[in-house]
Amino acid sequence: MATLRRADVLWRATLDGVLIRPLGADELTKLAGTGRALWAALDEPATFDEVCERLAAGHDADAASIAADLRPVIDDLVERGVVESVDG
Amino acid sequence: MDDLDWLRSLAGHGLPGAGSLRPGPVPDTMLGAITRHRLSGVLAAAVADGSLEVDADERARIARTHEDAMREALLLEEQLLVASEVLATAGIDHRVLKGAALAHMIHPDPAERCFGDNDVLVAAGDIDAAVGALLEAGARRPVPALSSTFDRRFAKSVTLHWTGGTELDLHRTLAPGPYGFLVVLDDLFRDPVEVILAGRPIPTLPTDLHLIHGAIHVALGDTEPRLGNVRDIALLAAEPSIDLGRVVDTVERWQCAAPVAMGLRATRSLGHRRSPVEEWAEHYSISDTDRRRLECYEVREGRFRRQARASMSVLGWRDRIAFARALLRPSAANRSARSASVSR
Repeated sequence: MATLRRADVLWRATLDGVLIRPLGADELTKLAGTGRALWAALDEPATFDEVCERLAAGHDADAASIAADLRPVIDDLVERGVVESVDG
Repeated sequence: MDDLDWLRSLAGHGLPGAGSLRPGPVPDTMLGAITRHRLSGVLAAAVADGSLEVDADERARIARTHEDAMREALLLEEQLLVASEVLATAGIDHRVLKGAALAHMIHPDPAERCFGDNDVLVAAGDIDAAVGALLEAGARRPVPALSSTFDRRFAKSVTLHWTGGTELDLHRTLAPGPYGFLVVLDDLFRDPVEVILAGRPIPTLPTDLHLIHGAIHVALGDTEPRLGNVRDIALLAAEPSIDLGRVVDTVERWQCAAPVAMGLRATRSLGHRRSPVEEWAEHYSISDTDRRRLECYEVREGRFRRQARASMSVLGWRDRIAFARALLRPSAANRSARSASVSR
């Protein structure tokens, strides 16, 4: 199963992260700090492990340590309707 | 370098051949002017790419200002998607103008372009149906038409409000006053292109018509044009798809070469390397007829009346009579809305 940004959201990069507006939602989602790198990593479908590796490469960090923090973030983004899971 | 010069150099930031930004702090007072000129996205880009060094406090203020502008842009884009869908469902051909379209067409990052309303063009014959469809979808019209046929025959645009406080200007033409009547409206619906918003295609103008519109807007709109709009012209003029011969042919057929040349000349202040179409504007000679037409746009006070009077010279006899009658004897609904707004 791969994860990627939903195509039907509006978004903008800001100095501190990314603002995302799912259509019809009452609230914007704000990804701060490394959230910007996460958003970039979700530009194309990627498995959870691949996303961790992309972020690890960009931040000189260990993919395993990123994985523990990232899982709840991805789950939250799916719930908010800004990313989706697809076969792949 | 004074504040206005600094704002101009910010508006030119990143354009081909433009100079570097003056280093140093960005005072609080400047942030207000930057927002007014719709340049907070360019400012954020200059901070992000290291062209402007700021301390942590300044960075935080700039980030907040930019984020506010982006929240507004995203709200406007969502409402634009709604409006476009309403019009498409009603079978009304339309083109998105200015802000949202240009943000996605010509700026290296849409986050550089701030905008405060939506502008959508429809054919003159469709404007009444378009207003009706949008009202049915929840928009509100604060000022009713001057007469039953005014919108489709004479209005530059109809302003609608959405819940949430945003504004949609539904355009019949590109300018107020005489030049608005000279634009060949059918040309605006040729060669549509699309921008993609939230995965959905939205119809807009090709770059040459955006350039012409942008220049007309800067020359004939506000007496002090926003530098963000001037930057749009410079970016459009540098687009590889701009064909000088085609632009000149279009503006001459429209008898709008003078305001387009004036709008293009406004980009001088940005200090960038000028494109062929900007060079053409430098050498364009404005006729006495155009000088007279342009006078009605020069001073803010009493503009509407002067533009209406100047419009008479380009209207046929039948239209002159209907136009004058609508202005002198507006509908009761229009009078009532305007008097209510004055008394508030």
